[in-house]
Amino acid sequence: MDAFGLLVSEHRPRVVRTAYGIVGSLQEAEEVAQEVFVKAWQSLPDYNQVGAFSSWLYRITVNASIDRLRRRRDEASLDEFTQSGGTLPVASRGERELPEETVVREDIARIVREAIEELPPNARATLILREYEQLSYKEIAEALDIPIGTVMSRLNYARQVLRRRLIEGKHLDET
Amino acid sequence: MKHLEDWQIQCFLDGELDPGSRDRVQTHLQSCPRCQDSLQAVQATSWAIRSTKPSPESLRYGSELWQSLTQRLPRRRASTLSWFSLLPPFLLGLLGTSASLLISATHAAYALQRMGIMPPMGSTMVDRMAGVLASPVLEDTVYDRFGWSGDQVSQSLISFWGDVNQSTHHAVGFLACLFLLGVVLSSFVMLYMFWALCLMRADGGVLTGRAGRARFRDGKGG
Repeated sequence: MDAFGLLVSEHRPRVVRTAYGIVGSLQEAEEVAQEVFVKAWQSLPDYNQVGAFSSWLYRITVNASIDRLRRRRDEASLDEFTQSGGTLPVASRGERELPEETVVREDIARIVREAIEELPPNARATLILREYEQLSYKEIAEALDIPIGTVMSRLNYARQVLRRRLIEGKHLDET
Repeated sequence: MKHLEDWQIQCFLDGELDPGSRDRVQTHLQSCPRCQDSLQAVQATSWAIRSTKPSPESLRYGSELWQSLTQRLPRRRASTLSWFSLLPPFLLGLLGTSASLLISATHAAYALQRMGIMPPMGSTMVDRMAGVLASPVLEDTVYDRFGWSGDQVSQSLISFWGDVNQSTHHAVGFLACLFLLGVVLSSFVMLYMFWALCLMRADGGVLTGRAGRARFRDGKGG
């Protein structure tokens, strides 16, 4: 396998996952990922090797995803899920999930996606890198080129918004 | 009782507290139902977000389309080699060619001397050396300090060299050749290393060699 093939095969899942978390659509995430890999390939000489390669790639992914959000700002704001009324491609909790459990899980997923859509792009990116990619605060700070304190405040804000929406949807008790 | 701040609960849950703070938060949580509820709420929120993470199966969505598009993506980057990074191999070649020409010229000179076409090199070198040693530049700078004359120095050195036996001549000649060869070889090695560094820098160091591939595989750089 050549170097480009290796780059794509090793990093595609994380790039698509992160892009999906930010743009909210798998099809668009695939398109963003293609932009990311082309850009990364062309910008490899600019990669200074000081930070982790994955942080550099996450930064390109987040920027490309936010660009995508900006481009569609004037378009319909509803994502493919709310338009189609379909189900999100999320992992089910198990083979023997009861129909009621499926309904609850899908409702929670819908609320979460809607709440994520409400977040400003920067907070959205921070939340996705933490919750989907499980990066440490330091890794997120490196990927987004922001101080760790900003990572903490953005995460706190994003989680508060999510928590409020889950309480409104009766999926979480108010404490 | 002072309750935990939101950021403390968040950092505790994310594993971002240092061991001392983590122990303090843990101790507090054991005796504070209100903070336990807050922790559970953050945990539940976190779980809810993670539940929307695409499954590995769903990430295969569009894989055929992706593969067909991958074929059309650029296979090669634009060349990143500047004229500067090409300079070392050029100099290396120049140096090697010069050294080779010098060695060939020496061989040819000795052969011509043996054939009687050229005058003996030894006497020519001694004549030249006498001229160099007696040069006005050396007289004005070095010899003047010691009160020597150029002719004196050249005559005494030449007579000293003439008194030295043949085997010492060979030994000195051999050591001089060895020294010159060492200088030339060191220059080769230095230039080669400089060239290799330039190439690694220009390539980003991530595409070449096993280490580069491992970096891609592990998702790590630097």
